[in-house]
Amino acid sequence: MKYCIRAAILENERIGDSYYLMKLDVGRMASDCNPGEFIHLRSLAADWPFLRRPFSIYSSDGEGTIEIVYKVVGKATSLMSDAIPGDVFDVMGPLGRPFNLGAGASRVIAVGGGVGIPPLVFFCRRYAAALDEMHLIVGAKTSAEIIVPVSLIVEGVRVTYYTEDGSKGEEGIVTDGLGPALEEAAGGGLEVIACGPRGMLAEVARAARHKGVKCQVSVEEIMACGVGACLSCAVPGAGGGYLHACKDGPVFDSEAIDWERWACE
Amino acid sequence: MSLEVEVGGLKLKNPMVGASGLWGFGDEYAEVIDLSLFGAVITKTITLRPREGNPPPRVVDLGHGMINSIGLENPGIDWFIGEKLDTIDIPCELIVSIGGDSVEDYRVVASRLAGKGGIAALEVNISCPNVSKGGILFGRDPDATSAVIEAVRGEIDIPIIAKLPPLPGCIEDVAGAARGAGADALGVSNTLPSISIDIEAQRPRLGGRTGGLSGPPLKPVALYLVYRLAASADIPIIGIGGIETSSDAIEFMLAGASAFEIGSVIVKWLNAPSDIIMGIEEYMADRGYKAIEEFRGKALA
Repeated sequence: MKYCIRAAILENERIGDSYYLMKLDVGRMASDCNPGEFIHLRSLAADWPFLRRPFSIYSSDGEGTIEIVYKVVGKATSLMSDAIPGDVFDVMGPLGRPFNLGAGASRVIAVGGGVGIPPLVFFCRRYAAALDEMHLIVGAKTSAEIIVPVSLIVEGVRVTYYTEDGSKGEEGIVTDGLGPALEEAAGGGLEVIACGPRGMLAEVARAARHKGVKCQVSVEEIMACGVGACLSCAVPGAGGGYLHACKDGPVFDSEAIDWERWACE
Repeated sequence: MSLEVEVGGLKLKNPMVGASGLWGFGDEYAEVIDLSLFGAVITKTITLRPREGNPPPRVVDLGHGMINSIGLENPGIDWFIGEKLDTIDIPCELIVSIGGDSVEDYRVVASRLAGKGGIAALEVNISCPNVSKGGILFGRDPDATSAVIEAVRGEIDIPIIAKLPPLPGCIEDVAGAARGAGADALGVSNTLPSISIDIEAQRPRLGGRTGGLSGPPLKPVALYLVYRLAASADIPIIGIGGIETSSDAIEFMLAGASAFEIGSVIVKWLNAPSDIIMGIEEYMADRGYKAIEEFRGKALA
């Protein structure tokens, strides 16, 4: 069920260079949130921006509060970072299609880059206990950009780090870790999930396809309505035409996307 | 007090109409917004053949408004009639927006919708700025407008709303042509042709390069056109453009609009529909008005 509410900010704390964690009082909405889904929000106090912004859900206590992690990248997120507890936001959610494991899935490799990591942590919290193996590969430019203390939060999850400057874990980009992980995990019941920049997702999709492993990717697109009405958030579909991130996604089967066309648009 | 209005034969329980484009094919918002607040909701523009739409990005946030370049993406009239129309169950009237590349396209789409239940009116989109054929090319030419409206009128007997572009230079002639060809009302107006350029990338921000401006920056322009046409055009007008509050809506009705549409505001304030209706009721109660008609057009005097 989708909710359309006015939600008060409970916390809005800086957790990294330009990353913030926002905790919201959302009432009943919290019990309907699944990993991969997003909320769409806009401050009621600010005159700017015009459009609500989509954010993946990072955690839900199932009772009344949810958390999102966001990076300040422009004026809208900068204004958002100024919000203080008690400020009220217009919030719609949970929206979109969540990660959805196949019936035979027993092992999952999750690949996350930057602000794409939080929804994967939510996934680990929700599903790791029911899986035989859960391997989370996270990447960032530097250790300072590894924004959630993954190892502290997710028990029973193997976590591998990649940083471009080698300041934490292996030196390299996150997709460097996927090839070896797929080799090591070869066999039945394996699935890959990923969330991060478009180039990273394309590489993850390519690697998974090469190994014949089912892969789901969570995408980010500029969006207006959030409910599949305006058709702004177009993603080129493998069958021609466009899919829409807000309703057909944000989590897509990687085979549903025309990666070549998407790289050009 | 009653908010009921009648617009060129279209009877609505109140003057608020969901504008084409932001309301999908009728019911996408039904789960989160109470559509019974509306007099009617208008579908996205439906064309004869399916249209892919324009490449992304399709929307730019200007902070004070937005520019879109969707490009009339829609699955076509066969899908709409075969798979969608019968499933739309909304507590307000449904108006279907139609578009086309040619006069014949409009005629065929109208003929396919003729006699179908559940459609209160047609909005004929002759003003989309985001397509290379049809769209605004019709709505800025009185002869082309006349040909399109006449073709649609010949196929269907429900009320026809001609949705015009916000182009002051020709709007009176286009309005006259639409009325002469059998339109029952005018929608004034569609989005304003516009562009936004990324100075780092040194190229337009939209995949379709140019788009249509909506939101508050459009309001004074659309309001001006409504005001001008209401004084001269002798045909009911639906005001459209940047309406966010009850005051905005009341301005349009004071300028002579019989009804108004809201679109872009819904991506900003989900409470806008209920706030607008409550605000109109308050305005009427404070002044002792029993009907919209008692204050409609007062600013024209």
